[in-house]
Amino acid sequence: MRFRRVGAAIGTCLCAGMLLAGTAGADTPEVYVGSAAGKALDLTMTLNGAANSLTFGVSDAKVDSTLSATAHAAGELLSGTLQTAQVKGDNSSQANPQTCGPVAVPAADVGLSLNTACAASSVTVANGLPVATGQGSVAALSVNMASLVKTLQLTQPLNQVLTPIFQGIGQVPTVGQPLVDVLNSVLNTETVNASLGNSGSNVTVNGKTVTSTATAAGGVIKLLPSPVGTNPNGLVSTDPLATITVSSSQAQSVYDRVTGKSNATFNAALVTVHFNPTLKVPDISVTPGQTQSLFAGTPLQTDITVANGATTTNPDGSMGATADGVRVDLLRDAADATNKSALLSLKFAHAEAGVGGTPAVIKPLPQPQLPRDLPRTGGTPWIPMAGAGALVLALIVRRSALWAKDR
Amino acid sequence: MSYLRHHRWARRGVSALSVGLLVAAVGLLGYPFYTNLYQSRVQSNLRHQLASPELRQAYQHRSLRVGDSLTRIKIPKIGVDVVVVEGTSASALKAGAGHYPETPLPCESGNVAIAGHRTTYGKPFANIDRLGPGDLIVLETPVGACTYEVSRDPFVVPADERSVVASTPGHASLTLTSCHPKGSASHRIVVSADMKGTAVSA
Repeated sequence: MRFRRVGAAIGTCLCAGMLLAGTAGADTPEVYVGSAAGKALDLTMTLNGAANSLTFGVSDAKVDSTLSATAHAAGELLSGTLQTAQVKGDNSSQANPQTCGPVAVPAADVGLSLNTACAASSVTVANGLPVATGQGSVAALSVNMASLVKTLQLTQPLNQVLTPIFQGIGQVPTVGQPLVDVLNSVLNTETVNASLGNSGSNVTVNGKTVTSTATAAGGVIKLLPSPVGTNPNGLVSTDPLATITVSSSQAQSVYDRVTGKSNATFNAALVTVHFNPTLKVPDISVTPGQTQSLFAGTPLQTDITVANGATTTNPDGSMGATADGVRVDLLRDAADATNKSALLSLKFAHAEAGVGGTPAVIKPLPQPQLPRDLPRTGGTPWIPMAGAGALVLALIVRRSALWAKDR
Repeated sequence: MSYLRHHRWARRGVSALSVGLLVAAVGLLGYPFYTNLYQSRVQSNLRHQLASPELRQAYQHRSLRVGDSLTRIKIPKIGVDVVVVEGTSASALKAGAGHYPETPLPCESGNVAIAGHRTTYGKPFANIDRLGPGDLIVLETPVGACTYEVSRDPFVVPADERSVVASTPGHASLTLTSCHPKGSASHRIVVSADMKGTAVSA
């Protein structure tokens, strides 16, 4: 399954539908297409210059006026858990209950561990109203630091790594032994832990509207998630070094079947970052359109880019909405002189929805042409007059014939 | 005349012509009587149709065709008691009276309009000029009956004055039209009546 741009798909379907529907001016059936697609997470790992990509929690749904409904869902695309539900025609349905399976990880040696991925899809067409729903999810993901240490070249003393971190945030110029202990304690555990949500795609048709909705739940990324130790105040802190929370995004398009007008809206994801209290750094928020760097210049450099949403209007009048999600680039390879390529790149919460169509054109029944005059109910006066004339003429002719005979 | 006197075949031709003219005269003069007889037979069939369950069903589903029985109109003042058919085409009006199809069904809210012959075809509306305010008109439909009361004296309008049969939303009325003067179609005579009681919902 590939994600295609919703607008292009709708435009193509509409053009085909209109061609099949017949010429304008005559009675033409209604044509509509609605589609939605959501993606919870794209994960790209760059190891030794080679990129490995995984996509988790994907779904799409599509219905059209031919009473065709299709839904796809996958917890993880590579694992073969793709579910497809498809029906065509009224009063038909297909439902694939949620199924889960192990996630295929192509680069196991990096310590990437994932829980099971799940997918569910269903489609129904009842009374001429199609509905398609797809939902994909993966429970959680983690990357073990131990296997990334080599990649990160973290063989130098830890304080050499941490000092620029704290200098970067300008809060803790001196790295105390307690914090070093904290971070040392996690070096052999996880480096990154991400909890993921679902993506859901739904297209619903009722008597008045066609509504396409795509949602992509956000997630929580924990950088160095399990430090255990005491902070400079002597208090125990179990918070991760940084917790990045990505909210969900939603894109919705609504098509009015009566007026043929479309409307699209989106809610872009927001990001908040919470730091370990040890760092004494206030929380920060990253709003749509912004890019924020954390721990710049260190192996733990994290770049957060929050994309904005957009609505588009296609030439055929169909509308689409895209709520582009959040990109989080984690961990820089110290061996990389440019220090630009992230070892882990996460793209959260991408949702797009589109819908369009043309309402049915029903040629109005011709109004009966009313006669100019009120109905004629007075008979035809020339008929009795003609009868009288014919009678007189008959008598005259008869009289003439008799007169000629007598003479 | 001398030609007729000397040619026998010419005299026979003139005799035949006179007979032909006589037959035509009888036919033309008898046409009104023929239409009355025709209307009488049609009315007999329409009465049977009006009482049939099929017509009742068609009436309720508003699927009446032009020429179908629609209602029975009774005007005691001038002795009218005929079945009105759906439609006001020349063919439909051979039944004597027809309902304007663009107006509401009898006893419904709005301006119900009925046209009737004033001469020929039973001439049911021959004497509607004698109606006056307070006279009653009863319509009996397959699903009920209602009574109208003439609201004003009959009045004459040009033949193309269709406003007299225009809708009167929210007001239940009855309009009767016929040709005026008798034997002519130059004008129309109109009788307006208002419903007594409550109209049937459309």
